[in-house]
Amino acid sequence: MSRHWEDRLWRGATRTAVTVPLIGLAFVIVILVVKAWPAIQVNGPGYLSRSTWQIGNLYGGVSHVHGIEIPQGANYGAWPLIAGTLQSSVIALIVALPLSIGTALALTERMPRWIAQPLGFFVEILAAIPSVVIGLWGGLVLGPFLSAHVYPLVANHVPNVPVLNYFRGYVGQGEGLLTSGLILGFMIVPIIAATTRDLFMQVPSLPKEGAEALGFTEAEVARRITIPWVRSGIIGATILGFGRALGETMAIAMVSGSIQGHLANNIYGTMTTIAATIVTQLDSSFTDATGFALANLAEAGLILAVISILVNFGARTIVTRTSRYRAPLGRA
Amino acid sequence: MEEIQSQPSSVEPELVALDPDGVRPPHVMESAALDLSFGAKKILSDVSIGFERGTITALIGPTGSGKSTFLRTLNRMNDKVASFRHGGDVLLDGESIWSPQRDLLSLRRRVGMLFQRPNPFPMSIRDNVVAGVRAHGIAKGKEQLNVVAEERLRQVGLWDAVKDRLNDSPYRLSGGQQQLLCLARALAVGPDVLLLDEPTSALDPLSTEAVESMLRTMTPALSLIIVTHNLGQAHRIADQTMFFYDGRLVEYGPTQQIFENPQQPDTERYVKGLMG
Repeated sequence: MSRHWEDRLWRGATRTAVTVPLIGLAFVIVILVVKAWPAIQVNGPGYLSRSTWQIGNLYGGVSHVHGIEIPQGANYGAWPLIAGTLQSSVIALIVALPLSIGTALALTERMPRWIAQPLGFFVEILAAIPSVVIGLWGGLVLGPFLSAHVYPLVANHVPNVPVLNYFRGYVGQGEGLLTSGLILGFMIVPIIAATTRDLFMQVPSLPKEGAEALGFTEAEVARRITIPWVRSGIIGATILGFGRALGETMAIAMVSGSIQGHLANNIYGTMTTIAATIVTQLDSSFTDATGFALANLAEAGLILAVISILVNFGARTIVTRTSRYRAPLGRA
Repeated sequence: MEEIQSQPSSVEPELVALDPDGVRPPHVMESAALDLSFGAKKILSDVSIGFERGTITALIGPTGSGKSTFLRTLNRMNDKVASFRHGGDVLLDGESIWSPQRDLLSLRRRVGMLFQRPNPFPMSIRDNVVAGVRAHGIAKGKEQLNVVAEERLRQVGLWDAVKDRLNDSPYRLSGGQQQLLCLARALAVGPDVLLLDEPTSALDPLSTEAVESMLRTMTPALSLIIVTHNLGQAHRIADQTMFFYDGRLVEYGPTQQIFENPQQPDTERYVKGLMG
């Protein structure tokens, strides 16, 4: 009898274990929607396209919109937050992806084991540095250095043509979009590199040897065999890093310039992201007695959650599309 | 061939051009006092032997006898192993494979390899066939590459089976078909020598037969050197056979002689199945 009882407990435990994260996710989304509801009603779809963040006159009168109390003059639009989030994360990916794959290839294909192992451990350790420390370094060291010595070089020599003229103009003091993107890139390199390295180590040697025996160069083996072999895994690792960049808060709050209400003027311009806005605006939002400021932060948070989920779905589609020739691991 | 070789001056240059093999050394590859070792571990000592052009040579011997290492030395696959050392020399058409003038990539284009298990690349069937052709820039453009792919797939008898799914994954083919695909890929770059490392050990008997009959059609245009544990296979397809035992080349001769009239007691014990 007792063994049946054990079995029932086991089934119950696993069922709970698999349900809890689902309930957790649903709970978070529901709470966000409930908290954001007043803002969603007042702002309408224009929230996504407006560029303004006015908390309103907290000591003046209260107006009513759709029966909801909001401070006079309050006006919110999340476009700069959304754009800033996507811009800085895309810059981070552009910087981090080649760097990570290069690191992983160097660790697995080029270096002898006695140096690759400690170096790989070091890469993993990088991921453990608290983001507030990286933010501090970015704000105090990297940003000022780049804006003094590197950004001006780029800004003064880039031709004045469409797209590239985004790299011209005032380079600021080091807080802004490009610094944020670089800092984010630096933060996601360890994630992508460590995952990619583990993937590369699983690529069987037989197809690689086959390519060498056919007269491929080492670079061709990497490009045509090793990387394609684990392409879907690399995309997964990249999405993991992109997700981290989208949601990264503290470091960006420290190096973005935290400017509300407009997009970066050029690639060096001050800006903000959804996550950084939530953390920098939270304190003042509590002073809004109507609760409308908090509702707007909740709506911004909801948008960030939706973006992250969409990115993951998008990644899944890409993975199924690109894995047509992928060999099952361990087969050859 | 021997005659032409001994008196090349008597042949008109125009005729020599028609038969370039005639003025080449009769041995396509040659190992001269070759010693191989990994670190302190001696794998093979003092192997001096020539591989006759346009024939099939089988390397037989028990596991650990050094025959696979010997094979993998011929296209320098062991060079990337840090502890690998060699003494003596290996010649391809009379020139050392390690000579500074020798480009590793073009050496491997001329000395191709087929492995123990099929190893298709993670790309379409068609791209697999032309992978080497592309890398060496032998043919370019979709049209030319398609011609090469069809020609080589026909040569290995795979065309009819795959012509409607050239863009599909190679991993859905059967093991035997995958190995034939790898053979087509190796042939596509136009090698002089093809090294085969137990190419049928992972295949069923029918696929083995298909690969074997394919190999027989490839001489004399190509010289084949095949490592095999399958004595029947060596007997069936090889012109010459080399018996390796305990890090030495024990005996070398026409296959018939090795199997029916071996000169060394170790060879006799091995081919009679009295030794692992």
